Amino acid sequence: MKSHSYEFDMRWLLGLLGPVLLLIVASACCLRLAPLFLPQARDAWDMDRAIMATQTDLAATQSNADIVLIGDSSCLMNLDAALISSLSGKKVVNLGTVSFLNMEVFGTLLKRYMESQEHPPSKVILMTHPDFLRRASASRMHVEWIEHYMKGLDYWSGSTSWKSVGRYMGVHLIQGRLLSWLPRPLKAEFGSLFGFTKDLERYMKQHHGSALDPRSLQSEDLKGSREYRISTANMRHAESFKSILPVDTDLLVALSPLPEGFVDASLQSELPELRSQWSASLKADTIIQMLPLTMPDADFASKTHLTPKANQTYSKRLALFLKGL
Amino acid sequence: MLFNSESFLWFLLAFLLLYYAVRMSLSGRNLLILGASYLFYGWWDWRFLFLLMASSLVDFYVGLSIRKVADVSRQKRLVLLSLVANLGALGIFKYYDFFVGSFQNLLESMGWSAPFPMLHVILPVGISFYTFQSLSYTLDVYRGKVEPTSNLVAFLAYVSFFPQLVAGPIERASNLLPQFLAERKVTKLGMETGLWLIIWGMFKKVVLADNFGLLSDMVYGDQQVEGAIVVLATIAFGFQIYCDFSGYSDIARGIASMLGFSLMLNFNLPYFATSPSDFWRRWHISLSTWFRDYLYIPLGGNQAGSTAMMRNLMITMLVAGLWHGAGWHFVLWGLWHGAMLCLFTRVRLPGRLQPVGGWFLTMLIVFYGWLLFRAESLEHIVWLTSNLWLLRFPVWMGSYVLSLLTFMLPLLAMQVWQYRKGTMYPMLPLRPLFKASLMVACIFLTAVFWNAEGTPFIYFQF
Repeated sequence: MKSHSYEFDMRWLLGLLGPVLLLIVASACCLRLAPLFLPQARDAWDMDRAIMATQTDLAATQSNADIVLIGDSSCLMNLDAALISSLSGKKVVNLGTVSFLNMEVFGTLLKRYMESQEHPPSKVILMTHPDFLRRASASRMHVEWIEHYMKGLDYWSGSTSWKSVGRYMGVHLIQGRLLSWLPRPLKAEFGSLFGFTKDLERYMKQHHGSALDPRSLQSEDLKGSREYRISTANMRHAESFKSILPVDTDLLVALSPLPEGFVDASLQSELPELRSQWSASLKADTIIQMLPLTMPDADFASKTHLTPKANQTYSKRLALFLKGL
Repeated sequence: MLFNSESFLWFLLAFLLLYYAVRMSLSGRNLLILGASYLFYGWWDWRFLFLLMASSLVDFYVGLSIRKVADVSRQKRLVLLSLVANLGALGIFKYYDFFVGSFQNLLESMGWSAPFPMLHVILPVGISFYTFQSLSYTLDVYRGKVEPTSNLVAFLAYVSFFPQLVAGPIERASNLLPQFLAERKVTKLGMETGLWLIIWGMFKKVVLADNFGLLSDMVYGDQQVEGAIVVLATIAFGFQIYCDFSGYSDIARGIASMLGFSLMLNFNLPYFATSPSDFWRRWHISLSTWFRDYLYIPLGGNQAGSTAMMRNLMITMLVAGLWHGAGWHFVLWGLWHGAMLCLFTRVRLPGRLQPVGGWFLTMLIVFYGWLLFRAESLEHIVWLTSNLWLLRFPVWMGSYVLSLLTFMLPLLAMQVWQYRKGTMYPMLPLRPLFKASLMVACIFLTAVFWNAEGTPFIYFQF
């Protein structure tokens, strides 16, 4: 028995699909012209990208701070720049971002900041976590994203075949330029505390670039390798980092703390040496030694971040140190 | 394989190419559909294919045997065999752990220890859908409403037809089976509506449902969030489940339509309902009519007085709740709807108030039902309900409202258009350029929110 009959021919089918395909091509072509008439790309649709975009914007804003904090996510989450400002009497800005970046990007961000100010800061504090120091390479996606954002370019990280089709269609231009106003919900505890990307960005602006980690330390956080060293990539980038700073600006180095439950006796004795080695490779002017290298587990939201409460005590310690300078 | 995944898009393209390009007999093409359906289903877990085949084969032979035997009691025994096979599989995979666990908890609360063995088996995807579809065949053959088929391939393809296999519409043999047995006609209208349904269904799932899901999960997934945000999260969930499920049905109907099949309408603007019974005539129509025909009416329906009718309604809705999942909150959801259906048989709003007042009351009932449905446990329901009245708002309330309205807007616009035009396809009479523009807008937005692996459909868990 015959299985099918068709009421239409190929010409009719082309008449149905043709306008759709033609319009897709026409829209893709129009979108290619988007940079000419649409606002700058800002597809900050997740937490990492919202943080990177906020800090890049903050670096381009004239704040004329006395002290600039820069570093990985431990700098962002462990230090409250607004509190340090009020306690130390010195204007502090936090340009801490995420651990997936590298020293080269931190340097570019700092350079961007220096170029936007009337007068340079007197001090730059580089705060990183020991985990960051041993990381061999950064996340390519994160580095590419922030580099594109700094240049005002559109970015699309699609790696699958259909995502590639999306790229040719100009989907990333819609996301970054037409829908950049849309707040995106943050996940889990970050969602409960900050809500959406736009609310996190607002919070960070109010706190001079600082954020908080609302999570609770899990037992898995205390597992993992206890061997720490400075990776070759970090050593290489450290040499050029200091050259970004004007001659009158001092570079201060601090290491974020580790939970006591994670640190054994051997690591305890190695951490000050690691800090000194890092400071030497950066040719830093000062090592901030009064900030502890370990803290009680109860003070941690994760292995790398302090709780909001511990963030305040930790920030107060730094403020006291800065006041005395 | 999820409809909203890249692997499915490749699968569908390859299948359509084979389906249209290769000349085959009716049996050959049914075999192609069967092979594709088993590949589609086996993509999740090939072991569950055996369950699907077993369920289909039992009903195929029961159907044939019913017609062969003249003795009514033997026919009844055959129907019983089909019931035991289908509901037995459902009971083992879906309900055993739930009922045994609940019984164990009850005994423990009374101070008795009862270490019953638990199965901890994975629920085969779509089991509630295909067992009900397969079961309806034997029941209809027994009732003489459907002629049993001796075409095994056609029957297996009817039970496992991949567009509607895992989340419906639950098709009756009287509608779908004959379409496997006769020449199918792929019409211009079928192609056009099929294309539109696939695009619009994908848009509903990827753009709307998944984003409503993020909003509802923010509140329902966090037991610390307090205050009236629960109301907004419940609205978000109501829209999520609608877009998710009706999106799936649209894609299923769209694919079927492009293959020359016609599947039943599963959702007919349910949030325009003006009474609970109206809602159930518009929501998951294939399931509500299944329960009406195979449970409510056999129980006596509304033929034995109002008390018996209310009892029948409560039983039907209790079972419907349990069908959705093995959890007490699903039971409560079913009972809530049952109670409201009973109440509305007694309560009549004054004529002038009926359209708006009835709609408003129905939405209150339906959306409070979604709270019961989405909650994690009975304690969670109590906590959420107590928060509905608190005038406390999180600092991110503004972003929540903005997000919610952003995703509600395209859906409401389409639904009002459909409602006012009195058709599910108001875009079809438009000029080709306008129609294409609408499709392209949906395609671009779907691509923006596209997730290569796809987010599972809510109803897959049932």
